[in-house]
Amino acid sequence: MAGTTTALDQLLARIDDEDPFYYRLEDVRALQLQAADERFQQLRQQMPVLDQRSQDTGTERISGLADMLPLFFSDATYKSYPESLVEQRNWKALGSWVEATSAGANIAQVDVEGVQDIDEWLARLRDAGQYLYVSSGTSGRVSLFHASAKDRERDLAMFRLAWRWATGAVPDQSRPVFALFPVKGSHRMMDSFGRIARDFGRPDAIYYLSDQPLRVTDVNSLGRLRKAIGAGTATPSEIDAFEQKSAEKQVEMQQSLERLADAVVRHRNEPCLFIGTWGPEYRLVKTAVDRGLASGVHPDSVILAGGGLKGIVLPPDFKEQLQQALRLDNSRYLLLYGMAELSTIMPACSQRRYHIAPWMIPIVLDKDSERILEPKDGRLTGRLGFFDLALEGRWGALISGDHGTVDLKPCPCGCPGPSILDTIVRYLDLPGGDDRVNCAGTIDAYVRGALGSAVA
Amino acid sequence: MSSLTGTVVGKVIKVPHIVHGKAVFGDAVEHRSRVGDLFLTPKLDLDALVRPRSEPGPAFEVPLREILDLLGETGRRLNLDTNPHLAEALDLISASSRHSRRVVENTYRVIGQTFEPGALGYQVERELGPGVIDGWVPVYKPNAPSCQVRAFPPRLVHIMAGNGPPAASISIIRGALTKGINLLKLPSNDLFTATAILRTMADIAPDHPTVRSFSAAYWRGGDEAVERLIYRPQYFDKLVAWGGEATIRHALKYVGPGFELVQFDPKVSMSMIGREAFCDAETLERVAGLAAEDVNMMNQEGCASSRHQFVEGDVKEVDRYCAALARQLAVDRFWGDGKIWKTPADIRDTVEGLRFTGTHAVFGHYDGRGLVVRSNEPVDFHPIAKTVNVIPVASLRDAVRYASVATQTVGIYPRERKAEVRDALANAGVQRVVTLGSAIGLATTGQGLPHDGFLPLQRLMRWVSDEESE
Amino acid sequence: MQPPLRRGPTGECVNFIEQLTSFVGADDPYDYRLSDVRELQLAAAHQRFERARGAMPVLDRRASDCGIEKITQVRDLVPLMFSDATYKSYPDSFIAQRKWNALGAWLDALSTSAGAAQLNYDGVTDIDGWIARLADHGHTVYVSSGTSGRCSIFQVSQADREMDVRGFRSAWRWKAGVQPDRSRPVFALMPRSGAHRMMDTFGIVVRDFGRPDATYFLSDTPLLVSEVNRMARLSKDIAAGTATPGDIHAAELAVAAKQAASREAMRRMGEAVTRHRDEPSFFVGTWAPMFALAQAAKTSGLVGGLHPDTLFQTGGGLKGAVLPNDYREQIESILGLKPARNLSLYGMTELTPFMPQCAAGHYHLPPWHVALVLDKSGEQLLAPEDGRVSGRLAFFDVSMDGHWGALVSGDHGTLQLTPCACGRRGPSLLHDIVRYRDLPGGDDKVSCAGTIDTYVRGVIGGETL
Repeated sequence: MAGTTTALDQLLARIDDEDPFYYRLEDVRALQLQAADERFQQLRQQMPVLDQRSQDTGTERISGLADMLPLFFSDATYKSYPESLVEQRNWKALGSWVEATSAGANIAQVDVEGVQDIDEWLARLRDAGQYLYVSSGTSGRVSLFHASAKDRERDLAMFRLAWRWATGAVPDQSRPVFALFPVKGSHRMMDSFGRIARDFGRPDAIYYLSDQPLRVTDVNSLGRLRKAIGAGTATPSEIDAFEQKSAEKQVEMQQSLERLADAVVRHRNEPCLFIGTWGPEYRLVKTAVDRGLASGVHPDSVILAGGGLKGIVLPPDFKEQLQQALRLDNSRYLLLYGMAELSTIMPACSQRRYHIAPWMIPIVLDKDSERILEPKDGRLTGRLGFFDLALEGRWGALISGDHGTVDLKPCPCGCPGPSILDTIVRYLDLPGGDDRVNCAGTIDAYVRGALGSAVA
Repeated sequence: MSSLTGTVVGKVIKVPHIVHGKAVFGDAVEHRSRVGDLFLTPKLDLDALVRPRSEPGPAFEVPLREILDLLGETGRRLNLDTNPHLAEALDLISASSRHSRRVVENTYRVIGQTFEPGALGYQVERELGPGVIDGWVPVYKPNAPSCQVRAFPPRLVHIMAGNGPPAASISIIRGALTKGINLLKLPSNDLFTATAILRTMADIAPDHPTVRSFSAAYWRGGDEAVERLIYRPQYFDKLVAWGGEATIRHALKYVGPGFELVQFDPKVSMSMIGREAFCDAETLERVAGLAAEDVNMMNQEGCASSRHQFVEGDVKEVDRYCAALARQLAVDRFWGDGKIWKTPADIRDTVEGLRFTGTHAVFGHYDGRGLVVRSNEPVDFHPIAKTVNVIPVASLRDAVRYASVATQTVGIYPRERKAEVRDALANAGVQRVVTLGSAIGLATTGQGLPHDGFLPLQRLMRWVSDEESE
Repeated sequence: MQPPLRRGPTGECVNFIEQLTSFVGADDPYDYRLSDVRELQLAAAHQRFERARGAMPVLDRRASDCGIEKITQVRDLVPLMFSDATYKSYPDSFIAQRKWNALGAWLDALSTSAGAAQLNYDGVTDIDGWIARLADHGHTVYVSSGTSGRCSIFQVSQADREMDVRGFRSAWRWKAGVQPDRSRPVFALMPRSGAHRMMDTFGIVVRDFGRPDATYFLSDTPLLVSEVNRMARLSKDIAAGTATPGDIHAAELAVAAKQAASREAMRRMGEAVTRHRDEPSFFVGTWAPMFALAQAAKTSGLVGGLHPDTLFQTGGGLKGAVLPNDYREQIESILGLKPARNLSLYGMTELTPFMPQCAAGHYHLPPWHVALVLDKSGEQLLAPEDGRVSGRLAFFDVSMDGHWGALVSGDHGTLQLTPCACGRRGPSLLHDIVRYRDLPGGDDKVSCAGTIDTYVRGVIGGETL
């Protein structure tokens, strides 16, 4: 394996191993650092924003974890585009922003003549082979980030790997699939999950939550209205119209769930595949039970669940309820942890721990992201961050908003590689964090939240 | 159909809205009043009722003098004998009111007095200080650079009370004095008085900035479809809410940064009568008359109406007082009727049960002339419909423990005894101590004196400072 | 089938009341023509009025006040109507300050029997002790569950208790042709004992139908009135500002502990339901706990409902409990409750007769129970149009012996005087009965007058049965 191949290539080649998660950290650490430096040197040539950061912090080389710290981005980077560029349809400027925050994107040359909104813009770019993903943007503002062709390919490979590793399921286009997301959209989930759905799904039995594409414009319009309310320029009737539209969407969503639930009941004796996040899956399963799903689904069915709840309120025992209704063995669940802006996902083992691939470097920081924490008894607890070495279309070192524990010791499942305990929470949801009283505030506090929950 | 407003068509009443000073007529929306009568209003145009913050309100820069002139003229025109709006409001209200037409008419005869410009000028100066409402006024703080302060006009939504026309005039007067933008939410139990006053003002000067600062509309109190849209800091600074637990609980949902609640809480009131009342029969009858005056304002439907009375004396003496009070409750008074509707059945049934405990005595009648229940401890029910609960006490100080945060007014006889208990009462939560017989306080409360524990004009303004201004 | 109207030579010595109440033994006590019994009803009502007036000062006063000396028509009953306020009119301070004899004097005034005022109450420390002492001396006192924290207190006679049980047996025979044979598992959604009428009468029904080794109550600890009272007292102390934060916390903990215990009891009962699913069982309780039990049974694995011959006795309002809109459907689908096996009842706690619901959904009145429909204020008798009349429901229970049986309810309903669709000719109430306070509208008035209750935040609500 040695010779002329780079450290990066060596690590990434492991995706084809029988069990890429089966490794000892000390065996790969040197390789990881070397690969990190290779990726860094490669991308700083292409990403002005990364180059700027390395100059500002005087980082020229990565030879240890400490060197990486100043180079970590947060999702704020991918949300840093001015909203006004979208409002004013300044696609050229938005394209320049994307090019500065990504690598290998070639946007300036794409003809965007006549593009009316951001969804059209994204479609136009896609037609020209330039993939930009968006995040779901709970707060009404979406992240925008670039994925190279290679990134997209790896994304799919990663999901196939996770399915095989966690459940043994292989993509043979044989199963009814319940895909709890819209059929189209610029969200990474729609792209990667969509391909998974087609990979595993019997072509005549793939059910999507919606046939309408998920539009960034809708998400953005929420943000824009909030802004207008804050500025005092929104009229009561505009607020009313928006709220009514949201209510209609809720109704559509419910009808859609019922349609899917009936299909679940129909296919209950075939091995199916469920793919989505916790919130919609819970609602689907509850609806299916109400509509006659009495004794679970076929025992060979598999289910992918994950993602935060994004402010959706579910009963505390929703996972148990879901399990009771589906009656699937633990081994039929593919539980995932990952960040939307990164490519490498972390599947959970039988012990409900999320395993980290060798081409992904975890770091654990203090709450304020200023210090790298030292392990205690082989464990690290604090703010999670990852350097995903697989990414080449953007910078893969990202700090999350999550609090969690990384165990560097072997996992009880038998795998010696590092894993993350099933105790991950968003800092936002941690108790006590918000009990400080302070008289400083933002206009956001003055916009009453009747406008929440408007995104899919 | 002959007149333009408040038209009675069969049994259906049309209630106009006022939008920026102009009356708007229409019958697009049906409502039911609390007595079950149907009434019609124009369709609510919420966009028209809010004014964007990008422009100041019409009266923000009008000198106080001009506003007082307008209010003074309004007061003169609020003459029941010559003002068609007021006469019409009186007809409509007394048609559905439980009070006698005489009492309702009396309340309309006095509202003009509340607009007296001299008193209102005093109120502004007393509550805000001189000049500060008309512009930036220098303030001198020791060892600090000089600063200027202005009481800046606010944007207000008033959730009005409907138990008597003075409630409407007070809201309008305060709104006008602030120079701010005012949206009045009409109460279902008085849909007419506020619009009658506003239309009187518009008759005087249709384009006056103060007139254009007022809108008035009806929607069902607590209607989320309306309130969630307009109760926002981008449109209004403060919600001025009168009474009604449900109203206040609704309003609280919308209170948050930038949107404040100024509440006049729902209240109960009581009386304290010293042993001096028993010095002779004539005095006792006179004191009972004063006490009846405090009970019977708007037939005991106000917050200042006395419901419990603590009397210094033994049971025999107190029973004599109770008998006198029952007689006095049956007398017609300016603010109340000698005979009203029957005592509610649940109070009657309760009192009939209490009669046989050996510790209670009952005076008066269930027929609306007035009922007095004497007991050792306050009764467990809430006395309404001219029902008074009299409790003997050894000394007025013993009665203080029955006052609480819900107590607004305590009327005391004789006046000299007030000093003896007023600190203890204030400590218990009481907001107002008056001489027995003066609980109505129309000319005093809120007009330069505190109302519900604060100076209302001062609370309504937005206080802005210019620091180190020289 | 109908006992003929018998008159003695002078009219006095004939017991009209008994003539009327003996209908309880008829095959179908609800199948009669009102015109056939009206005269007897009025004669019996007058007889009852005379008897009660002589024994109850409160009634005597009311009669004198409104000048009613004789009952010759239904209208004469209107001014004589009491309300539940009558039986709630005792001062709380009597209980707080343990003035048991004064409370006894009050009870005497509202009962046809005397003696409560003079009893020796030495050693009685709370209201439950007071009730027990009265019971020792032959006075049965019932307490209703006051949703507002204030209970009605009233006395019934031995005859009333017997009539109550006979009424229930008759209703069961009528509804489902069932005889009490002590054969069924019984699920009684109430405590085993307590001063509530439900515990007394239903307790007898439970023993009537229940197999002794398979009778389940929600709780074996008696329902204590003093507990309900304690909550009311705390509320008062909070209002007066004398309750400490510690007091409030202790009360909250007690409520939470009680709720936890009742959830646990419900869970156990749910398991028992599932265990006995193949036997014809008997359920008795109000809707809210019935719903909780259905949920508990479902959780414990009940699928496919219960034995088809299972009987249900339901009724009662929701008493402020918040249930999903489809709670009836849910109960029906989980437990397999069928209308034909469900004895649904309407009635007032303070009066004996409970009115059973027929197949057409109407609640039927036995001949000794006179229904009146009044205006909202409860003052005017309304006249029927086309055989129906809607308004405030009021009743005169001619059988009521221990206290005065004329009572205005808080409910709005419709009385039908023409024969019911089920075939019975007697008067009936339509099923759309609602409490006036639950009717929409009418509360949009704003006034500055209030009560101290506004100032007590409701952390300690939802405590009563």
